[in-house]
Amino acid sequence: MAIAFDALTRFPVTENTSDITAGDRTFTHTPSGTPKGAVCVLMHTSTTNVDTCLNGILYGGIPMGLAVRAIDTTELGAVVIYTLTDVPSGAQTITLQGCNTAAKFVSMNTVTAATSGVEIHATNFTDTTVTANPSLSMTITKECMSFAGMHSGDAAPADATIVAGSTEQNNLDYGALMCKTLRRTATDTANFSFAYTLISDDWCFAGVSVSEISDQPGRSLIVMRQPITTASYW
Amino acid sequence: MAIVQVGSTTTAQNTLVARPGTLACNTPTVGGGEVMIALAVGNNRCVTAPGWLPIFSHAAPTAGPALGVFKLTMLYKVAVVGEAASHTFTYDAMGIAASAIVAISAWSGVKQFQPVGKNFAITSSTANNAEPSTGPTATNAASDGRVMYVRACRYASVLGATFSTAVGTVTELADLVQGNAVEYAVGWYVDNSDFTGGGNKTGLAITQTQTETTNIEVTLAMASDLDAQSGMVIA
Repeated sequence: MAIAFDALTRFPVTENTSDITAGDRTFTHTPSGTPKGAVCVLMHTSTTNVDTCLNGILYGGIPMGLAVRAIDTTELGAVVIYTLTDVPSGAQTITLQGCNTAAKFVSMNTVTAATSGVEIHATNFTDTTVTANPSLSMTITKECMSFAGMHSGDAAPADATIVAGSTEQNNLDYGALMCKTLRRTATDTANFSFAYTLISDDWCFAGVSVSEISDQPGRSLIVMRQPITTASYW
Repeated sequence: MAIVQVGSTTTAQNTLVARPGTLACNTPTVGGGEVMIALAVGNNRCVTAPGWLPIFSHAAPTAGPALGVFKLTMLYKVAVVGEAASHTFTYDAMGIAASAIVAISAWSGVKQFQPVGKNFAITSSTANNAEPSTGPTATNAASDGRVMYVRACRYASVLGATFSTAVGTVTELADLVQGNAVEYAVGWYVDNSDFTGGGNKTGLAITQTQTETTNIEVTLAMASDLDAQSGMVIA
């Protein structure tokens, strides 16, 4: 078994809804298998050009690292992706620490792997861009599972058609704005692009690809807790 | 194998890192397979470096726009033989151009994969804390390792803060301050000896010398590479 997608939890749970409550926000993520890594794609509408939606994210009490993010500097929107590469098994409490009242949602994913953990293989982002058909290329040289988020100044999620090869995880209609989270449908060993077919508007896009680590050969360790004497062994 | 600091902590400071911008920090003495841990302090920007993996990022409380631009980031890298003489950390384009600090320490005997994090506690506030301020208690520390303590502060003006602790069983890894229109500072400490087994790890009482607007306080543990080994005990 190589790296593979494991499970998704949305917060809020209902698709196309956002959370605006301030303070620590918690929810439970339940993996399907034994997870080896986690990828959390946070979408929010905090202050333009200042990513201040929350302070940090804990997975079962363990801090997640900020891997990559993208910002729309013309409208209120950001994609922020956190990762954790060595995760506890079983259902875990996810804590979004110190949230402000900006509209937000997250797609919390876990992945499984044949080795003892996963690592970030590639990241990419595009800040504010005004074109049709937003896309984000991922440069990949080994088998990866990839995740991304796209924010657009377009008014309706239904306007955007996802390009084959990726699976949408959530979308949110802010009214004048919209955003989506997505993942590569299958693991991949070659370069590819997340992409949507969409009319020209401002957008930003961020993505991460994770691969399994190469385990080191195990070392043997012998600990002597009692002196060895000739009387004992001869 | 005990955890040992193998190279003196190196630092880099810059009064104005553009957006996006970079800050290069010299590599401490380090051998192949040993672990480097970096602390990056600055405004609210994503900090990355080639070959480095994130451990955590924590932004200051968002009580207002001015306070929402402070972030502490920790990253790690397993050193290769012949490690580069310096490492360049990139601050992304979000936020504003501002002061930044990077510090790197190098360790042997540390777990190579995800060396820090499972024993972790962090608090942050917009308060001017009473001095000294004691960091949070890391709970359920279940493995062998060495406890680290970090206190990062933000100030409304350039004040030249310094950090200290009255506790004699720790070593100061870094005491750094950098200011432009506002000032950022960090004190970084590590226990002098490893711990074994579980149990909570209490925070460290750290004093800093100025009136701060924001605190981020962290208690965390490096994991011993004993965790990654198979073992046999002859008792």
